[in-house]
Amino acid sequence: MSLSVSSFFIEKSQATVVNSIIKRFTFNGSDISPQVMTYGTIVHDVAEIAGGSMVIELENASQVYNSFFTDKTQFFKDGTFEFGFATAAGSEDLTQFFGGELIDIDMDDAQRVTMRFSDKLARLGDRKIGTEESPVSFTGSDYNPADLAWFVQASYGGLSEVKSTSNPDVDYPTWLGWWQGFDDDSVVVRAEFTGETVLEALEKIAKLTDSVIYDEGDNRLDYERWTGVTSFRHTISESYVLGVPDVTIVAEELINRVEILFDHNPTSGTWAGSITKQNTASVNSYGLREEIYDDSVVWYVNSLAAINQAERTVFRRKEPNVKAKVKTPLRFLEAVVGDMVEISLAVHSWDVKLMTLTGYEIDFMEKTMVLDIDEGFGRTSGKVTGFLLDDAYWGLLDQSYNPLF
Amino acid sequence: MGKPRLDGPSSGSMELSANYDMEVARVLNRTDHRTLEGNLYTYLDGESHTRFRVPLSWVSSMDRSLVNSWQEVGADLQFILDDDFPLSYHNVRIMGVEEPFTTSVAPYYLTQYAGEIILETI
Repeated sequence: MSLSVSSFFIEKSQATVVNSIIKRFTFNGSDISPQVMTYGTIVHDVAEIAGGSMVIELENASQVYNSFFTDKTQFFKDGTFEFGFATAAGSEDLTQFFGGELIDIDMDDAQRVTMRFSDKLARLGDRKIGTEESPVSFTGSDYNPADLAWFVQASYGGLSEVKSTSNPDVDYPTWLGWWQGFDDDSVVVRAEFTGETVLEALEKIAKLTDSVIYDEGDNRLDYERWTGVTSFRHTISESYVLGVPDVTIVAEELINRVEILFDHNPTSGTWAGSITKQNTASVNSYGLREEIYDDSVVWYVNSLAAINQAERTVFRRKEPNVKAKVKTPLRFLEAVVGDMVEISLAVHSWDVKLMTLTGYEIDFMEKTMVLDIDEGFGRTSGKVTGFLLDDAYWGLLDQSYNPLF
Repeated sequence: MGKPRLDGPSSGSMELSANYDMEVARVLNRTDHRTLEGNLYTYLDGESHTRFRVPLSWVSSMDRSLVNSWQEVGADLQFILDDDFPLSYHNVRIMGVEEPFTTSVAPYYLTQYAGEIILETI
């Protein structure tokens, strides 16, 4: 799911001559953009639910920021960064790309001050669930993974429990779609937390269920599970690429045999059973590369969901994984982690290669962005295209030959 | 045709005996990128400003002191390109970390100075 921006915003960001640019930083309710000298880069990675921190440098020749010495209550106040364009009618079309809290300032140079903001969702990494002595157990019944995530983020993370689009902390439609997917597949889990943070709990749920939980920059959680066919989102060609991309092929992440344990008993520390799936063709090509899923924090209740996860894993990760860092102008600002990318690069003989966006770094000063894309074997990321019209392999409807996940 | 003049915040004023080698340049806030296929992406971000490079000689000690005082405090000045039209001016500041007039004009040692003053619109 791409960032929700207007067609005007997309049109402007994809133009080859871009003007009427607006960059705005608001701190503690005040627009401090006139004092900003440089904006730091904004980073998102699929492995991190909360976005990275953001640094801005401001002039302090006026000594206005010396107030931090006398008024320290300014710390942990909100800072937001918006980027966009002025319309011909004189209005502004802005999108928030970062929201955070002030955590420290640097005044090595008295004429300048550097302010560092932590993504607001990073505070979920400070909220712990249970302890070793008093664990928080979700073992009395089976839980839809989305319900488990909702409970821990609301009860322990303090996020809003409003189940509508007005929820300020959660993109409710994506959560609901995520929930529905698990309900359709009868995926249920149980859990026991002994001091994991809310962020760690959400990361475990995402990893176990082959999902991605992310922040688009508006400090609201979005949820998505990789399942089935998805439409292409972004097309990258050499018309948009700056410099030759940095490409690697990683073999260490290959998994062709996976064992998933299910129905954990926290009291006895035992498991009721396990399932094993193997991709024989991959084993014959690369030798046995095995992974065991035995997380005793969040686990599957029965073999059905475990089989589903195992089949996904040995299918998606059956080969060494191609990863690339592609630098472009600011024409993909609406992209978010998890989006699918269709990339063609003659320099690597890539012709309409399908990959997944697993991270990005936006430099609003240099007007560039670096997209991290891979074939889909990264942590909690990856998509399986079940059908592609006229393709010699992906265009076959024989379910046994080309199973849909 | 009149001469360029620099007016200070109070009553200070300095006539500039500028020649045709004075430079007037608009500086854009612009970033350009060229892709692998040769496409050019241009970003025009924010307002442009104007830079004036004014080589001068025969600057008196009094005018030199006046300019230095303006530079030291970062005074906002009015730069009039033609004093026949005094209402047409640019709001500027003197740029640089060194004083503009650093050499003497022979044979007037330490009484007549030469150098270059750089002004940018604010």
